[in-house]
Amino acid sequence: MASDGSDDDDFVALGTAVPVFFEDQPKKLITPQDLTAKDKQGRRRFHGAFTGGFSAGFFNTVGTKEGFVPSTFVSSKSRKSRNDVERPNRSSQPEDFMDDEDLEEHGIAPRKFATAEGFTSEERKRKQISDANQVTSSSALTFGAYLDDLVVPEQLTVGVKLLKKMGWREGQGLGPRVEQKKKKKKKNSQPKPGVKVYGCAPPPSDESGSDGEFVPEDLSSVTFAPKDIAPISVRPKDNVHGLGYRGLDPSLALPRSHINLFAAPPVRSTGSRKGISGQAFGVGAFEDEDEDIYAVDNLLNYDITMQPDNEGDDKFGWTAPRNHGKQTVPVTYVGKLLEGFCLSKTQLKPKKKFPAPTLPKGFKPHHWFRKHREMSHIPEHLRQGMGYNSVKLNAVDRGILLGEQPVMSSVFDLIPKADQQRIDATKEAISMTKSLNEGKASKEPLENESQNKKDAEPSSARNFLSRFQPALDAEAQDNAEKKTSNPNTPLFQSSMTFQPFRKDPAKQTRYEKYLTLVKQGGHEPYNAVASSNMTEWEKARERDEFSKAAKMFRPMSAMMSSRFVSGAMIDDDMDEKCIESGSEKTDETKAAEMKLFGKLTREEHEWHPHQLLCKRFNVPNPFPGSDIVGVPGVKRDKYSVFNFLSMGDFQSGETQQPSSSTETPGREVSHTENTMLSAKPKKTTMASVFKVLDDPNFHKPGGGHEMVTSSAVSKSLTAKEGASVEDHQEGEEKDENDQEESTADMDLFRAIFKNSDSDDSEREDDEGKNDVEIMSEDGQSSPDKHTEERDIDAAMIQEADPVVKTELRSADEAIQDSFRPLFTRRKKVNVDQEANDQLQQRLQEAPPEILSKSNEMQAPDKLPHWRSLSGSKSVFSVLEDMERNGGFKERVVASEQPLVDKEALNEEDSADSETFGPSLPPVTAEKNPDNNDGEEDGANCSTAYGPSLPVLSTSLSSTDLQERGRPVEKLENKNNRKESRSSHRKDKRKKSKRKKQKKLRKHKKSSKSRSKSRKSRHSSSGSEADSESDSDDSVSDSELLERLKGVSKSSKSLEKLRHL
Amino acid sequence: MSLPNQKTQTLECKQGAVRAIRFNVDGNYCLSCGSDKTIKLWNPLRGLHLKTYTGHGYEVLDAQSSGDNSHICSGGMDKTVVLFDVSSGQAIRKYRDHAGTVNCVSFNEESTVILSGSIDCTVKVWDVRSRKNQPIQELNEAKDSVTVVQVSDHEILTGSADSRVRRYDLRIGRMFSDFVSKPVSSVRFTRDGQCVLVSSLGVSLKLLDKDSGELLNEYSGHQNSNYKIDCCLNHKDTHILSGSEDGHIYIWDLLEAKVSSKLDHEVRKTVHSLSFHPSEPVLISACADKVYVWESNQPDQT
Repeated sequence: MASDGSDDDDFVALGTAVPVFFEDQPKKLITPQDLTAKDKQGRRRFHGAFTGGFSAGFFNTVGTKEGFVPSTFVSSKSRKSRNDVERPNRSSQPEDFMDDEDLEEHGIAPRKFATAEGFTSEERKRKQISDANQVTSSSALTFGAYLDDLVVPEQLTVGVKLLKKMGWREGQGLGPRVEQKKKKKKKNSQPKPGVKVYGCAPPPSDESGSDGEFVPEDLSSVTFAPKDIAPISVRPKDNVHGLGYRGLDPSLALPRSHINLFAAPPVRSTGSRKGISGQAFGVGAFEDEDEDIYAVDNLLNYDITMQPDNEGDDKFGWTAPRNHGKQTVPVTYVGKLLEGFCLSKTQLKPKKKFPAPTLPKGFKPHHWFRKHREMSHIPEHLRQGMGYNSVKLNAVDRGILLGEQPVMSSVFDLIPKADQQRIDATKEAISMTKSLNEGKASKEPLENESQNKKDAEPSSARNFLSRFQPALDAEAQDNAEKKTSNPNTPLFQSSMTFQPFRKDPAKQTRYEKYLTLVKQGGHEPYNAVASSNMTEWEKARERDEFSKAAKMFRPMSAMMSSRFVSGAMIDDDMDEKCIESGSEKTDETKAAEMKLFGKLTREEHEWHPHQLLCKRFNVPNPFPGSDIVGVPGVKRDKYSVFNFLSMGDFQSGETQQPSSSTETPGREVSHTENTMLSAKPKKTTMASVFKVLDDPNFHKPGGGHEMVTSSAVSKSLTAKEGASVEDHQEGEEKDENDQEESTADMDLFRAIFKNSDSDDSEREDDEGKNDVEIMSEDGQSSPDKHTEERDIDAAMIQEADPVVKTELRSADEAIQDSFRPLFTRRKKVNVDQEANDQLQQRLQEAPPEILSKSNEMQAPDKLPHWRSLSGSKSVFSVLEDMERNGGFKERVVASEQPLVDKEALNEEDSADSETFGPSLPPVTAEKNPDNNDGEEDGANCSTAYGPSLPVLSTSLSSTDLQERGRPVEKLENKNNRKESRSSHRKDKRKKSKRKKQKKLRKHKKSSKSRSKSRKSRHSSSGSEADSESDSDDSVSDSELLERLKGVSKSSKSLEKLRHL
Repeated sequence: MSLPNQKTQTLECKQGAVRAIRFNVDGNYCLSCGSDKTIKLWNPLRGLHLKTYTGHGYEVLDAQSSGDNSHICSGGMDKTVVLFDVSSGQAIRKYRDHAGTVNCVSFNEESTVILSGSIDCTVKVWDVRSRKNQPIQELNEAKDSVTVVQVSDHEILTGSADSRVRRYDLRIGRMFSDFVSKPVSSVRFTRDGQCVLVSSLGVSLKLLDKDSGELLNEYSGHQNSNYKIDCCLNHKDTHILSGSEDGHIYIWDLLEAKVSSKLDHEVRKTVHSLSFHPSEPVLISACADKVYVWESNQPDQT
């Protein structure tokens, strides 16, 4: 057992490894100097012919620093250590005269570890002998020195000694003592008669004899030592010897070898030593089997059977389990017991089993996304109609399926025949002149046009039409070919401005068509466009060109286009607004009131979902390839405050399209409009400024043309005036008109369209000056902001140049009208509307040319700003308002205060007006109503929090401060119900905003006016009274009075509502 | 048909006023949106509060859990739409493009996009899968605050305070707008997807045919003049439920349009939010600072 183990080890490296030889290392030349032996310090070790000589005296170094230092005499008197006492002659030791090298391994007196004297083998032998001598002498046997060599006392190892002390005797096994039964059992486990034994079984007497113990049967309590058995060795057979062969262990023969306690030779079944060991090598003199020395080896001693004498026990020795070998298989146990294993008494807990979940009845092992609703009940054919089928329907097909009237394909269809002929003639004339001039006009357009030859138009029309000529051609072709193109083909706006292939009209035409097709999102748009007489190469090249050009000449970016409106758009714009606000709306409300839901209340628009949205919804894009997102043609509400807070979005659905003509079939495109197309861009800008021109009625104003122009001029002047007024926030304007005119060119918009309140509030800084005004205003209470606007205008006009002023006066009504649409209220206040109608009727006689002329006087570049700004008016005013009020925080605070305190707070607010906080979105105003709900709606909510939020609406933000307290979000509706419902939402907002601001202003007024202003506030109307007195001359008194009456009525009703 | 008729649980939400209460997709959990800027996840049937989600800067007005229950989207008065991770409670994303209070949010059926309707008159569509902060698309047809948004597999249904119910059909690429004389406070598809239930301020609930926009039925008797009060259908489309400002929930028979029962909250406050279990007769409703769970004491006859 102890001899095992070396095999298990890994390789052991002995010695030092040969240094790795590198070829490329240059061989160092060995010089004679290198061959001399040197010590560690580099000193030469050997000198002269002698080797091993001391270097001590060499070169007379003795006594020097380098040389040998002889030890000097040291008196032992002073240091009498024990060492010195023990070795008095210590100074004479030779080591004292040696240096380290001499004491080294190769030195003259190498020092190494050696066995201490008393423990060397010689010494031990001597000891043993002396021991033996003592023994022999005591036993009176005197063999003399001869015997001394022979008699050697046995050396016992420490382990044996320990074991012996523990009670172990030689020949016994190790381990706990065993009971008698065990022994018996072992004895009885001899080969049974039925069992064949090959070879010779050991004689039974031998065993009992070898045990040498007679055990009485009754002594069951006596225990016996276990047999000395070698434990099983589990070693693989790695030799070619026979099974079970083991070579003789020489240690057995050697007397003083280590006694292997655990591996007794298997050949001996008994503890006594006999057998082969004695035969081969002889037996020591002190062994107890001396008498057997000459015994003939008995083959019976050999265990030549393969079967172990005791089946189980032999394998395990004393480590075997208790009841080894007598296992009984329990009845319940099914299966074979493994040899060497036994059944445990405690059964293992059965593993917890988790049964598979029972599947529900209708379970199908595949996953589908949870639908909120089911389609299964819908019949198959219906489902197909809903877009499940693979057959693709385009918008036209679907439209027809849905029973729509196919929309007309072109605006030109609407033109009366006579006009069409004229257009054709013009086109023809153009093409002819072109062909004459360039000499290389393509045939295509000519062919079309030559069919309808008529008399030529004057060349004045040419300028106009030449710009649109390609588009016209395209239309003509479309009509002729009856292509499958989408009927609501938008005239591609950019194509009118960017004409990359102007030199080649045919190509340009194709390009236009290509663009429209691209816009509609057709597949392979070029294929439909390519002309047949081109080679493949040409086609390919042109396709590339087109695609590049289409990328380069993009239409105005969405943002820009949302800010500006092109000339072609004015009328469409107007129409759209009318859709929402005009007669249709009243129809809707009527229908809704009559509960005639359905067609009357339903609107339907084409809507382009974003490509990605379709993807996310797992729906095929209904308009593959379309750039348009959202509802094409319908612009979003310009007057929503929020639209202007996110100006950066390019995806929003207002890619401008002049196609709304197709959106509103049956719309009249008047002849005048057509002929005036050339003037459209300018007209737009005009219209954008004054908005009057949106109103078709105004195209025929009643006044002379000078009048209109002058009005326009005066307008712009007043605008400048107003701007300067606001910018300076001073009262100087009256004196320094000229200076201000020069400086204030930028804020035209603000001047004209800004809330009068803002400048009013500024003006209030110098209260004394305006006090009179205010007093007069407070006296009148009218909710009509329109009049108020006019008042301001008029006030500004009054401050303008005297010349302008006079002219203005003459054109007073026209101005009024021209200003009105910006702040339209005609449908709101009936009286107002009537007056306007009268005005319009009067104005309708005016020739349209005047307009165009007047427009030409404007600088076309700057004007689009006006338009854009006019749209954004409400925003800016709100934002400014916010700023002025020190941002949103203060507002919230203010609104949360009880109403009584509002005045004071508002004063604070306006005091803060100098500090321009961050312009917060006007949404913040929305919070106020909610907060107020919590307070004022005491019946409903606890003071800590409101139980629920009222329906939030944008109109809330604009409602009066007092109105804000109400949880109703649409107060105006109630208020307006008595009035006509057709008023624009934007007007409402403007109005309410103005109201609010007006109120703020009013609170700031002197205490004199305070009571009055409160009165006016309660009537929610006094707001516009500010400059009412100024406007008296511009508005006819009777009208004003009527209006005021109407307003006071409405305000009363409002009051009632509030107190309900 | 068994209807919820008894109050089985009352959840003390402790989050100020409960602005909305919403079941999750399978009806095992619900979300309550509080005015204290938190969203709470509950097991309503056992009345267990499971988790609180914070991340909003102001009152939370609406929330919805995704189809796989892994996310929650919510919108509130801080103008943001927030996407929460359910298990970790972290706000994964915040979308801040709205210019005003976000009134309503909704996932699409696969929970890949969030639609949020806001007081700024727009519905914005946010892509959950990308990291973009800009909406995919903006539905800006509304002229007034968008109060409610619902999504079916290919349709987006919005109601707004401009008294219009708009339905955007992605498959055919059309937008249908129905005018209902009063500001819309809630809009629901019926579960079969054929009709649209509209509740608007001050008037009766209307059941409109989805395709034609025609009025199919009207349900009146409740009180809704001020607040945004939810309406819903029961799990089998047989009844119509709506909150009311008199502290009741009104339940009408869909066909007969008669009030079949009323659930009294014993509080004279507005019951403004309610949500019906998708498959069982269980209703949860929110009133002031509490959430009530209503169940049926009759077995559901199927």
